[in-house]
Amino acid sequence: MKLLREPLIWFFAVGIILFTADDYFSRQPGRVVVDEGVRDRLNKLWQVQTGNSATPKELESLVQNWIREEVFYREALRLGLDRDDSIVRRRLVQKLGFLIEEVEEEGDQTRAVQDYYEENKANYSLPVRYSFSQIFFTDESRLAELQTKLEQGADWRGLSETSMLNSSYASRSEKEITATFGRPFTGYLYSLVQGKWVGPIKSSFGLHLVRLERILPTETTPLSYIEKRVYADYLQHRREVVTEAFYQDLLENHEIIHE
Amino acid sequence: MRKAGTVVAILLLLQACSDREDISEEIKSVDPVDETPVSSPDYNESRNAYFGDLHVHTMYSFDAFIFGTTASPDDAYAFAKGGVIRHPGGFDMQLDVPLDFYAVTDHAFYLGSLRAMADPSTDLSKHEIAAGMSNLSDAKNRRGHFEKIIAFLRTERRAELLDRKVYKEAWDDIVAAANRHNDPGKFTTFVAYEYTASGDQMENLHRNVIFRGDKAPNLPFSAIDSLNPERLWEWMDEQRGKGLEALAIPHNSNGSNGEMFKLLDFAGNRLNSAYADQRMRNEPLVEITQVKGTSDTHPALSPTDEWADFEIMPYRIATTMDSAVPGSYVREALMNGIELKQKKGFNPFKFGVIGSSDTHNGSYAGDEDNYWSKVGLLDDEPVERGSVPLPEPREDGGLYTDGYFRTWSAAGLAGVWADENTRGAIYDAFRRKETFATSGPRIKVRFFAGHDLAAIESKDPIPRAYDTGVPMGGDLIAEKNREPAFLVWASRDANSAPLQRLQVIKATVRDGKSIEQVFDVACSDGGEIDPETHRCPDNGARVNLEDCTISDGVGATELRTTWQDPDYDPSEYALYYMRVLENPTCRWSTWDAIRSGVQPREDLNATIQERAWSSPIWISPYE
Repeated sequence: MKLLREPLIWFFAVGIILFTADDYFSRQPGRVVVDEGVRDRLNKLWQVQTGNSATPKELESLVQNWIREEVFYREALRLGLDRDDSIVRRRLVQKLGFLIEEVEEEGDQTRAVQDYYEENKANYSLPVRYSFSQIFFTDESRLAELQTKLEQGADWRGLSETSMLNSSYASRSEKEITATFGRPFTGYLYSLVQGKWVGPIKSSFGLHLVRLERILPTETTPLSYIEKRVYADYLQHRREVVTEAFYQDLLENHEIIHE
Repeated sequence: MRKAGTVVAILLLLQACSDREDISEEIKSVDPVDETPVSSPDYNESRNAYFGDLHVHTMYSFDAFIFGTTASPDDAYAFAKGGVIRHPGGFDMQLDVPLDFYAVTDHAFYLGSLRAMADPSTDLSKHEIAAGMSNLSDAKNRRGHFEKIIAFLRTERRAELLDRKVYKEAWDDIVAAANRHNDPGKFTTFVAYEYTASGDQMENLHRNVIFRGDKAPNLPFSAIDSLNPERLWEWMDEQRGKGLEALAIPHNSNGSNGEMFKLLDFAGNRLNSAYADQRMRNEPLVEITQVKGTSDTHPALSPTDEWADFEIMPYRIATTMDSAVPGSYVREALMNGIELKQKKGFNPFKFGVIGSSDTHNGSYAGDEDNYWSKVGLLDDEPVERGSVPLPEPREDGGLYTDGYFRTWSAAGLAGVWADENTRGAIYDAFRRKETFATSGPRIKVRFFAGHDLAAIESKDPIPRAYDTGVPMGGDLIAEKNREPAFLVWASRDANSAPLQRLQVIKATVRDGKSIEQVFDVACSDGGEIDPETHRCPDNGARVNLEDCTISDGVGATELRTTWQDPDYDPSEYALYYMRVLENPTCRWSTWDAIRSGVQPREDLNATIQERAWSSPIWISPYE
């Protein structure tokens, strides 16, 4: 029988059987089985909600409620009430999410966390920071006088005009320097020379001679200090990766038609 | 089988949550009695200015959730530290400059409830009021739900929406997030919440409660426990007895319809010294400015203050019912306070000031030129906040959306002077009232009074000011033969407009009545103060309303002076606070209009003068 080798025929045959069976069984009075699994689950949910274990009486009442709910639930399914309902849709997607995340909790992750940390070091690093001193003045004609005084070894702290600015700043990031001095000032950070007065540099306040004390390069916090944080980030990352892979997998079995 | 699998997964999730709590318990506790300075790199005996926001809502607040906010307390703290978070409207929010301190203050009542209502698996979602909650769509629908919930919360049935398990989980998460993000020396967080009580007619009595340490009470004291703020203070007194030090900061007195600073207690009795003691023990500070307007003063109360008409929000909170002016503004309360002190010997209104945002997006509300407002999807578009005309006029012919968003303001900031950026140091500054408020820019203000201050232009006047005088928030006793001097000093925000004028606001009790005076004490651009009017000349700073550019080369980077009161009388009770004004800049509504290519709305101020206010210094008469 050549016909039996034809997949399309098989497809229809199986289809007809399933369709008939589904029709037959759904007309049968349903069997609602209350087993240990159901009772156990109801009890656990009760515990989560109330903090106590259900008494036999409470459990009986929970079971009765569950049966009632189950019967209604099946009828609702039969009527197709689950379709095109955004709450049901969202809830099912959420449950699927839980199932995916469940996969996550297995095995020793130390190595994987280590790798994740290495790949994402930028997230666990302090930016470049500058330590510097500054002499503040407002009148550009003072520049030559200030430079002469510095050359003669005058105490630089006495040369600044009064202002709320500090004479020295320790390990400030570019963002922090911008907050204090304004954007244009930050643009000159690259021109600073360690141990040498450079300027005048313009800020939102006026003019500055600036002496770079030192630059702290970007610094990565050792994993051992922040293990828990990195682990939490890693888990979050894994969840996203697994969920995305799962989605892509499923997507392959779907044809998306935009109309 | 699948169902069983899901239950296991939920249990695992619950397990994961409790793991997270463990982390918080491992965080080093801040010992409230340990005053040993931590050696953070910017420790400064003359104190540093730190800026923060003490009024931030996240997804756990019942209203924020309806507004579409999904930002968690963790997200909020990450944002304050400079991170990027997503606005529910779909755009990213980030601060140019991170903040120094931050407190998530979600509404304690119905904490987490609305979020639970939207989750079909919870009991709360079965409540009739939850219908439609899981499917909030447009702004109109959200506002409808917000109003429905607000109305329900005002009925006797309000307790139905309280699920203690949901409440506790949310609170524990808030406490854990605060402790997780606290980073002594760099970034300070506070365990905090909002006590959201209102009167029968929506008179706003809201307070934020800020804890000093990392330990928190099992659950907050909320408006469900009592609508009477005096009960809150009793509860705080009890907590203090158990070692949980906290303070409450009232906000939006402007929307209290005269209730916040009325001269009667909650039951309607006259105030007495026990009331004053309890209030001051628990409420040393008041929030003077935020998105829902500024509560410094009102033109009707301060007719001689030309700058009193600043970001006035005239309604009771969450309504368009007018809010009565008397009893609703801070300056008047401060004045009533010294009058009571003189007549009856107690002062229930001896507040320091802070500003904050009251954002409901988890994210400080943005600057005037980058305003994303505060109620999520309700006002993230210029049309929704009334700065740009509606596509079609309203039925009554109005061109703009109805409502109160147009009267809102781009954020306020809290400033403190503290030795270093740690919980202990910043909280102690709150207690000392060594605090100031700004309307958004990071303007620094210093204010001292004393009889032996060094001249402002001397090399470093601050250490001596601390040694011989008192800083903002302090008390000075008058001397018989010497007049006090004030050191008044402001420094601009490096990234905002320059300063225009420096002012001192004085209140004193004269002939049994408190009176106020506003003095300009330093002018920008070499301006001289008119000795008759005490006013600086116009410095000529203008705003181009075509593109919001401002006059170049006008204004000061710093304004400072040593000032003495020309009307000083050592026999009077008096208080003084400083205010500094920036040159005018565009208001957010003008930025919105220009960017949308329409004319700014004529019935709104096109420009504002951003400002900072110090906490007052109180002077008691010579005995």
